[in-house]
Amino acid sequence: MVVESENLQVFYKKGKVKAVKGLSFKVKEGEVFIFIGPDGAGKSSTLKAVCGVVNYAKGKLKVLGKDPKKEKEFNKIREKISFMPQGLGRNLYKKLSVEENIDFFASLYGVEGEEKERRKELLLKATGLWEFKERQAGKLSGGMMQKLGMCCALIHKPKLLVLDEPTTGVDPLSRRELWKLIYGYVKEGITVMVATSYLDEAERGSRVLLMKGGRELAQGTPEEVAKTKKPVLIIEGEDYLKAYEKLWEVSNTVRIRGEKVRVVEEKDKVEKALSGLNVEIKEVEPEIEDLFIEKVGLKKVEISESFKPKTEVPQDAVVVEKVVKAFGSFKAVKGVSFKVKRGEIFGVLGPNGAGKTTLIKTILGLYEPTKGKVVVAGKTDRNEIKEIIGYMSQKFSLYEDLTVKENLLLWGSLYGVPLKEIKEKVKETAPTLGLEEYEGKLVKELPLGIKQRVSLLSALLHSPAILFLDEPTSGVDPAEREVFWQVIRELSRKFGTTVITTTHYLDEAEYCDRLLLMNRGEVIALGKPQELKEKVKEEVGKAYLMYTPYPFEAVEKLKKEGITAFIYGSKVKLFLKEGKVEEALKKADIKEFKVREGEITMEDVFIYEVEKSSRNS
Amino acid sequence: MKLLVLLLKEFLQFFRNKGLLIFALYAFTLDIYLASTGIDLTLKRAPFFAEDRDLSKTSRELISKFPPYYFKFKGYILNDRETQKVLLNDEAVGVVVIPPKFEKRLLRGEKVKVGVIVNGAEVSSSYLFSAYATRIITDFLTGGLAGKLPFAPQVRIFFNQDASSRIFMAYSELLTVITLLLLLLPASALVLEKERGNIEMLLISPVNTTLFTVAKSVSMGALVLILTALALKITIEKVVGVPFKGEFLDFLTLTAAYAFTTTGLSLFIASVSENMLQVSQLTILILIPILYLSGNWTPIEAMPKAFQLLSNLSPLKYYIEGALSIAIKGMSLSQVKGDFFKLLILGGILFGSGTYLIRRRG
Repeated sequence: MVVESENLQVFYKKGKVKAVKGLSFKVKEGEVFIFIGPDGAGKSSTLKAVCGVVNYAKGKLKVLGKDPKKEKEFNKIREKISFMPQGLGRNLYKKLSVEENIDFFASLYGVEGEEKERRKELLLKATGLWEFKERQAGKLSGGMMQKLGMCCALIHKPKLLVLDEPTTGVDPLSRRELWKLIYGYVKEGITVMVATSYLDEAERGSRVLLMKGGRELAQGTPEEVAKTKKPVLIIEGEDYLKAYEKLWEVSNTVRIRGEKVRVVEEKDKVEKALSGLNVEIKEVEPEIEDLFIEKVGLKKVEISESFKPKTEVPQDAVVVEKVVKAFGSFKAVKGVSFKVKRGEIFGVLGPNGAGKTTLIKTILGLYEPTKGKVVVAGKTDRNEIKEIIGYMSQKFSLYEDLTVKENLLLWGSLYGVPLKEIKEKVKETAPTLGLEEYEGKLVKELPLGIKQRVSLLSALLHSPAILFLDEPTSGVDPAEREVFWQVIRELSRKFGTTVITTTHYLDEAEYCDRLLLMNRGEVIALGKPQELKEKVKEEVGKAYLMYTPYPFEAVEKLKKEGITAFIYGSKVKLFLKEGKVEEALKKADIKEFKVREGEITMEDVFIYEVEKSSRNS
Repeated sequence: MKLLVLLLKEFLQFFRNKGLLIFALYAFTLDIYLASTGIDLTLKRAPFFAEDRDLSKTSRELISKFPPYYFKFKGYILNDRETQKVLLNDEAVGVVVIPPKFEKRLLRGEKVKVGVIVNGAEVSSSYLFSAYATRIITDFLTGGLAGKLPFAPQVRIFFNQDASSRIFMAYSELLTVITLLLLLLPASALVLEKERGNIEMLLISPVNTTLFTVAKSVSMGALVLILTALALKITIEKVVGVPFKGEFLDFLTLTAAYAFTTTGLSLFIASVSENMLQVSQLTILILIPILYLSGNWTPIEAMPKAFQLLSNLSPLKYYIEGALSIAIKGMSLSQVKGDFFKLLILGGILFGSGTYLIRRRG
């Protein structure tokens, strides 16, 4: 057993802040153990306690047989543990080159001479950083920085590798490569502990601990963790919207995904509620999100008429024509064109540094486009659109040192809404958004999800016709996110409010009517989420998940056969265009396996499109 | 309406920022108190030795003329080497050297020389020491003649009869603190918006940038005025016990004009700074030349010609002239209207270009 914990508790500020409230888990050798949960769940605190960076307050903890609290004893095994903190390149020296960074960590852990050179070459070549070894660490892209961070953490062959959100903000391609790197070391016998807030990453672990508010929600293999009490059903067909309304009467787990409804409920109950509607009911494998929703429960959100936009906008609400935005010689946006229709929910997706934020800011008029044209609500003068648009950025739209009420009154009146009207609107909406008890609190004391709702409300007080959302729900749990998107959907469907949103969480794409995928300033795909997936399916084939005791070997064998395949947790994900999957696997000389149909995710779409676009250029 | 809301917001945020609030209160109370009671520009208990080579009655009498309130006699020393030693070890500010045969030659009516060696490392006290000592020695040597001279100088001090440096220090520190806060507050209020990213929201909203800048300036200026009034009424009058001769409102009106000017500079700082660290660095960088050139620390007439010209650019120069005239001399605002208008003109230029820069640079 590499790590053993019993009722682990971690406090800050002398016990005033309880980050971890009793967590028990065991990490076996060679495992990929994933801590998963929204921001503030206590993931970082748990990892820091394991590495002896913070002292735990109560409970038992043994890491490689030693107690991190007993400093003398723990110091002996400290070099067997490597910790990579949260944030892009946080353990690196930004002014040093790639090679200098690795050399520094090597000498720190006493790796010298030939051994050092050998390992350095191995690591840098495996990560594709070898050709960039002269480059300053600060000038690497986010994904490369994280890879270098991992190289530095691995140079002394630790027994236990602890990674705190290594993939947050990293583009999907680099994300997949990072995971590949992790699995590569697991093969060599290293034990890995990873924290992540991307729920879809849970499947990549051999064991998963789902957390919320410092406590465990579930623990086990990804399949065990995702197991819901009731079955997960998908309802699709012509009447899916009517079904959505009906289902609220029997369940509090109803969600819209694209043109489908997803619910966690007994099948007969659902069938009874939906009798007479033209829909099809299908049972699917539960995902972690379903479990989360089942445990927490949802509430139906209604938005009042007062949020109906006061101005009519043309059918083409936003038109972007060949927009280029350059900062000096660097082109952040390289000729992007698209149109957003009135009432549409339009998503701009891409990793950090793809140019999403620059694009949004150019549309908003914060930047002048270097080339091209932007028309918002039929107008090109940015001063004329100010009252028509609303803008919400996740981190910044509120004053932390003012209360919720003060913030709302401030932003409302800055948009020229009379105080009386603001108060009425807040009074109407506060209960549905669950804001009542927070009205008198300072914004800095609010939980993240509440902060985002207040931020949304403050952007809506003047009833804008076009709403811009910049990374609106990153880091919040699925239940919080559902509430948020329910509001957005109500606005769009009921009142024809146009919504443009950016996100780097690819699974958020499902909430949008249409998507624009961006990478390195360029558009790589544009269309409905379902269309994009269908297209990938047509071009590379159906997705399958295969369970086998020897996944690494299997991937090698499949690659020899020319089949796209990669490690996916303890499974292998592969794409097959034609023929029976079992036959193809047998042909590839894979003996022990179990296979089922998988889903093409937005991440698959993204990676496929990026690879295609770089092949073409 | 929007202006009102923005002003209210600024006040709320200022009073909730505990660190800044404590700093501002400290600056206008304890800091002024310490400066006016702790810093004294006169000579007090300056330690000195006498290298008396004469060792006569007259030489001892000369030493006894050094009054103990200003001087502290530490003893006799015998040779130059010891003189050097006490000065090197900072045991004394100065040494009075009396030559051999001092008494005899004096009685004979011959010319005598008395040496005063001062420790130049302590600039201001050694300077005062040499001046005071020269005066005492001259008085002593010409003492017999005093009654026979056809004239006698009589000094009268206006406005500050006991020539206490407290009055000067109290007001001078008040003006420095006002300058510091006027440079710091508007800039930090603006840069905090930038640092927290709120500025983007404001640029997108229908709020005019100028209105926003004006709200920041007005609210911070008003805060400084309130603090100034408190400092005048409480710290200076009650605690330090220094009189205020002029009209209270005149002083505040002049301060308001100064606030206008200095806020302009503060806007400039805000426009080029990205974060609070840069604001504080730039504030110091701008504050120091303003103080040096203002004549607050050195009389302008004593500066090199180029600096004298530059000093015309320091708004503090006009403010000091006007404010001290009102506070110490009891003049009215109309008597210092020259300074008042100069502040307004300089302010118009600085505030205008500051607002322009903020608009342009976001």
